[in-house]
Amino acid sequence: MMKKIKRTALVVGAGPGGSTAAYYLAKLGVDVLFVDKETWPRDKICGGVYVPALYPMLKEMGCYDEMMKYQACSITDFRLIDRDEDYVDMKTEPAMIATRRFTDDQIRRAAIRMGADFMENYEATSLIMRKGVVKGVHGLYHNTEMDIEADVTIIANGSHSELTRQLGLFPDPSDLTVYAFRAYVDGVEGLAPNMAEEYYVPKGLKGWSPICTTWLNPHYGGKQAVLGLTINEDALRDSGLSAMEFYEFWRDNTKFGQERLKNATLIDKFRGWRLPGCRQLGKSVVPGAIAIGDAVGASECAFDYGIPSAMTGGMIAANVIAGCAAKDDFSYDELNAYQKMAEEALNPSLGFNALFRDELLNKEDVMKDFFKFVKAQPGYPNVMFGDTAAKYMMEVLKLDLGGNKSNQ
Amino acid sequence: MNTITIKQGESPAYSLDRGYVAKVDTKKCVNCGTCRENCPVEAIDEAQRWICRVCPECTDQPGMRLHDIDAFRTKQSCTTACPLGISPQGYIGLARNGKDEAAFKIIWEKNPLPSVCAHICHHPCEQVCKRGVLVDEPMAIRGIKRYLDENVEYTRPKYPRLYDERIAVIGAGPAGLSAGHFLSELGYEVDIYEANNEPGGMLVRAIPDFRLSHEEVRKDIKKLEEAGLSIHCSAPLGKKQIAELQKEYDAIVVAAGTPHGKEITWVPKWNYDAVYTAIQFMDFANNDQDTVRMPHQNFEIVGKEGIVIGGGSVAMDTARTALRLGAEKVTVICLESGEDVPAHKWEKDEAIEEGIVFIEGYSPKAYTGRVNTLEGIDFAKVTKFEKDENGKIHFETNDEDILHIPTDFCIVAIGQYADPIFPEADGETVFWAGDIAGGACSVIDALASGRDAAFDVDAAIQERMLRNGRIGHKLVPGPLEEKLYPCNRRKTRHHERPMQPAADRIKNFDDVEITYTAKQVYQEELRCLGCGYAMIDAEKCIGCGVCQKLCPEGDVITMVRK
Repeated sequence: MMKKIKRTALVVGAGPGGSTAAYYLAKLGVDVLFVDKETWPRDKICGGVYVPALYPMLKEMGCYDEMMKYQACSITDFRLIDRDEDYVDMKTEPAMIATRRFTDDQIRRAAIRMGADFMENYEATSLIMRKGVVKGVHGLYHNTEMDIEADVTIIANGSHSELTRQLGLFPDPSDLTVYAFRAYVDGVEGLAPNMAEEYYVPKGLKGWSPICTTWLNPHYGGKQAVLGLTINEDALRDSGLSAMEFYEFWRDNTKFGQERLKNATLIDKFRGWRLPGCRQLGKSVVPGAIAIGDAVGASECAFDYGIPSAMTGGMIAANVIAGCAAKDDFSYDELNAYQKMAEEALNPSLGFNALFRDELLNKEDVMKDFFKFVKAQPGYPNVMFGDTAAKYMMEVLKLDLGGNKSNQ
Repeated sequence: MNTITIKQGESPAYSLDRGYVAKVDTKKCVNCGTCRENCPVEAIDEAQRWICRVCPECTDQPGMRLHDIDAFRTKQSCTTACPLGISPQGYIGLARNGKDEAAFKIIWEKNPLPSVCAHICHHPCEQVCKRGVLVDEPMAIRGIKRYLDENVEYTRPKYPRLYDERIAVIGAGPAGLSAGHFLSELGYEVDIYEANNEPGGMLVRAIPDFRLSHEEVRKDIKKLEEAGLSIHCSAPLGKKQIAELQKEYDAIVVAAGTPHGKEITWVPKWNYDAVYTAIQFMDFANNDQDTVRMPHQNFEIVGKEGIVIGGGSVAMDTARTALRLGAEKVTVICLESGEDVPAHKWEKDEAIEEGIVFIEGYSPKAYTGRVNTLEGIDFAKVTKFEKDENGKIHFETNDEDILHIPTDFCIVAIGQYADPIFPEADGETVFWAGDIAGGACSVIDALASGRDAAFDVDAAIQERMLRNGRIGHKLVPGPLEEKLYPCNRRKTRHHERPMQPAADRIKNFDDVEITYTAKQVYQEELRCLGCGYAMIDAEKCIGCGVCQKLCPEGDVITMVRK
């Protein structure tokens, strides 16, 4: 016989976004269950970047101290290397980098401490729809079918989400969609302990495309690192290369690749995600459900940090749902308050970075201009990346980006 | 009158022979209030002396008519102005007589956070000081307290355990610590739950180092913990846990404060990257002063111009902090103007002295800028401003009269709000204290609010009212022979509060105030007029002698045979 559970709020996914949503729902007194398909703690090879904007939230959850103590490193510098191996150094906001196995678990524990119920090894397979309203999920618990019914569902199960694809919320602009591969590497040489490096892959690769980047985020003093590769979906298809072949090409054919990874070994194999590249938060609310984070392409992982967007979205969704629960009204109109609030909170920081990177990547000379501009700044190399990039965009490119903002 | 009639409750009254009556040596009494608070029959009052203010020559203040002074003198004194009921005249007098330890004991016995108050109390006592009103300048009461705090060591006695009931206090800010302290002192088992990783609440989160260093807060809290107060840090609570606490404990005191900064959401583009709430800003500035970067994006404050919206103490603190972090220019803009500005005058003066521009009577109308970069703010002139009886502000603006100020960042300090997760105060098992309970929001008010909540809890649990529950007493006029003559006053110079020079202090986070030296503090203590003294009502006195035993001066009260 099939098991059934009935709750007020259900959160699918226990990553940073889902756990944050569960935390705030529990805090605000909503009966909440959050589920995840993995056995926790689980690892995920990903940037794991926590920016200062999140610290107040982490402090509130009571996981800030632990995370600061066990962070892999703090990034303060950033190096951008172009296709001709010319580079600029810039300062960036100090961000905490830590392994996801540890940090995600901290946030999940905070939610459980706050009184949210957690179920692991539950894989949500599809949505329960009644009269066009999401009423929960069908899924498998240890390979046994189990349904969870809920008045409202938060979908936070990442970029692989079948649920948001089922709802048609997942944006798929193929020109912006990228594949991101990541792996831990050991024995890296010459990487400064506080500096993240981002490389643009040189021409010469079959099916070469502008959006081909590689980066190294140092861990534990720079001997270890997270190695990331992003490749445009079309480019990957055209080249017919595997992630490993792509990595080998970069390692063997560039100065920095040879230097950094001469004696390096990969820990574990590459893991990859297909990430939608969107510039604005798309539709995230349907009757009975709110989708947050990567599941709805809100975090734009390929270009920006994903965790802040997911956690902010989770917090807003929880507040909206708590308001609904107080009135016992989970209608679409009430839930849709999320859309406006999330757009206000998330879009300003998304739009700019996307545009900036787009300009850099799609125009051949722009990168050179940008490097010149940065190096001419007073105080180089101690210039802030955000300020400099903004100035460059506005002054050198004569872009009027004001329109972008006012359209919202 | 040689007999005393005693009547208790419903039992019949009976008479006793009166053996002794207490008598106060008014010349020696320093009005510390110890005898008054401990008298079992409330036979002791605080008397206020006449102060001669007829001829205009002998003081700096204008003369007053006799009946005006008469009405004024029993209205308020430094002892009734203190929300915690501490007698400044008492500790000043004791300190002047060389009894620094006894003087400081008067403070720390009633105030759970004496060091904190020695630095940032907004000293309502000084505002009603009769020397300030009638003669020249008020006593520098906080300065004297600060000297005592730095020079006297004390140990709090361990809390007694008298009752089986357990109380939970939510929040370890001033109100929560105060509630916890007084409940523990009454003999309950108390657990304080704090969401932050460190107790102190806004004292460590929002108040900048140049006004109150974290060390002072830690020092006070350590004393409380040594006495047996249990504080659980990093324990954020949700609705469920609070419901569980309600089940587990006999009563809960909610002193969770208002930890979230309000945002100006009614003005479009309120969420530009460089727009912060005061709480966000102070959180960052307090925790990481060396490498401060703002919460959003890669914003560095050095050399930038900024605007602080709001006119309260928090606005002043954030503006002064921004200046110390390297901002080129900081402008404070508030709705109110003139007397309505909520910040204290001295705070405003200190801020202006440091180079902060202050503009009154404007309300934000629009943020201007491109993408997510703030470039300036438009303000509209406030034409009408009024407060209704609930304290809610109503104002109108003239949208034609626009003031545009270019800026790089903006800090919004227009108030704070509480988490909406706590049950309503019901007076039986749930009690509220501090900011979340509404009312005045300074440190000393929060401490008083916490103490009152503690006494309320005790009254509800024991089903009785404590006689000393609410500390507050009436003043009685003293007889004419005790009259004071300001022309006979000791003409010692009033010492200005010693401060670091403005040019130096904006460069660092060191305390802007400097403690008085021993000599200065003694001269300051000599200035006290001594308006109040203990007066014993011989009709009520039963001659028990407790006042004589407890008097910290020793030889003030004598027992006279009737």
